[in-house]
Amino acid sequence: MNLPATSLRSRPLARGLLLRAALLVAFYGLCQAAGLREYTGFLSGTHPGTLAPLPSALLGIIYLVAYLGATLLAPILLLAAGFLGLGRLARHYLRTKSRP
Amino acid sequence: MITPAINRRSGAGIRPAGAVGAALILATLVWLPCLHLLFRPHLARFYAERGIPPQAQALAAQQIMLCTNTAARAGEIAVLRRSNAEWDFMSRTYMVLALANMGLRQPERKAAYLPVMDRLIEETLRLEQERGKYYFLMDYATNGAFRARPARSLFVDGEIAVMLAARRLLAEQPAYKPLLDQRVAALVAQMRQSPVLCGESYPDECWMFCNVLALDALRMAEALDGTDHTDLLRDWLAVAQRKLMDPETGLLLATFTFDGRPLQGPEGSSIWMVAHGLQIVDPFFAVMQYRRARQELGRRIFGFGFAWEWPASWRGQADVDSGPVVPVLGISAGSSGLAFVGARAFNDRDYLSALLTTLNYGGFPVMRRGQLRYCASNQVGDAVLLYSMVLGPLWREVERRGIRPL
Repeated sequence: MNLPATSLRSRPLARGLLLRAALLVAFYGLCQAAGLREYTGFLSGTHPGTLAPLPSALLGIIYLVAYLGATLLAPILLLAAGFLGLGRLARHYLRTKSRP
Repeated sequence: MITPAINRRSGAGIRPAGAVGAALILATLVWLPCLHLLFRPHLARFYAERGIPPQAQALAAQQIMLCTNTAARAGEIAVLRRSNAEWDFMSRTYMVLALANMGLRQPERKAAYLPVMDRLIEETLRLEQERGKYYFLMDYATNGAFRARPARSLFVDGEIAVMLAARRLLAEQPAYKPLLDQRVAALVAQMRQSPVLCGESYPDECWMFCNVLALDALRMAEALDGTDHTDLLRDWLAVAQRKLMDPETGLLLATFTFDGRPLQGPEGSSIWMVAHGLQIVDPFFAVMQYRRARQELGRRIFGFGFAWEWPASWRGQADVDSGPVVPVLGISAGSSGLAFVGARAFNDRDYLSALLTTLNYGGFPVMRRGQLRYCASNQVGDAVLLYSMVLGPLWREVERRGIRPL
């Protein structure tokens, strides 16, 4: 697509958002694969017996942060990237339409 | 159309940071109200009027495994007792109640559930006998002296009585009749000594939760053996409605002294089960308490349901019953978990669906080999959830066998 320079500049922005979303999902995937879900028992005031309470709660908090990142933040970043892309297309459309 | 002014500022049509910020705000506004759609449950998988729904079956499979596998049970009990000895005890009560309801829902599976119930009851009685009356209580139970004589915890007596009665309502067990008679006599004696007709769970500390379960035990004994406790029940309701209500909310207090002086106001981790327990004592009062609790404590945001531990008019601190409380939103794990029991008991399907959405999102379910558990929960939490999924038939059985009108 032959887009003007101003529109092309929003591409890295969208790409940056996509990259961040991918990193958040990858981090969550790592936490999930490492079995950190088991440590979310701190939410109910319990912890599995394999670790002391503090490290157990810390692992649970790491998992929780990763989970919130993947389910709350990553989709927002993806959608934002999509909106930026749509904005770019809209501007391109308006510009080409306004040309004599 | 790009205005020259904008072009001058950024040289890129729209200032990049502004564009990203606007896109992020828009994306947040779109995503937050949609998120719950990914976690919204199919209610029929969790709740059914007849039979046992699939998720309850999977949760029950995990809980039964924990009751019958000695090594797994020891590990799970150790986890519970590290946090709170009461949870060890209450997980037994909820599991026995759940199994009684499951047996009534699936008579053909009764033979499989009865040995699990007996194992839980007998182990509980043995532990109480061997380790003493404080074994299932928190440490502060030894700090003071019980006001009633003999010194007993209504928490322990009431829940053991409920377990014995539930087992007998599913299938008669003659050996449990004298045990139930003794516990019922102890409950009545304790309650009658208090000016507000409430027994102590801890020294000079009466819990509404425990007292309502004690009343349930009396009702179950009525249904089983034809005993008559209507005088006590009628007097209790009159005193509770006069002296044990929070005037701001119209909800029953959670804890108070032997003389009826309030210690803590209404609490979510208590009131949902209290309302359910009152269903076989005074159904109208039960409905009113549920409605008030729902109004004061039940919350929904973006399709996710949860419950506060305290009403807005009462300031309390997070404790072992409330569980950790999420700041700002005020989500209490204890209150939200027991809200399932209230919502199910009073057939509040909208709230139930919203609560389940939250459970699917933040409960971190794990399904392995047909066994379901929630990582963010623990055995007592899962037992409460299981009970909420199967409750109903036991209370109907109590009513069917006949309880005296008040």
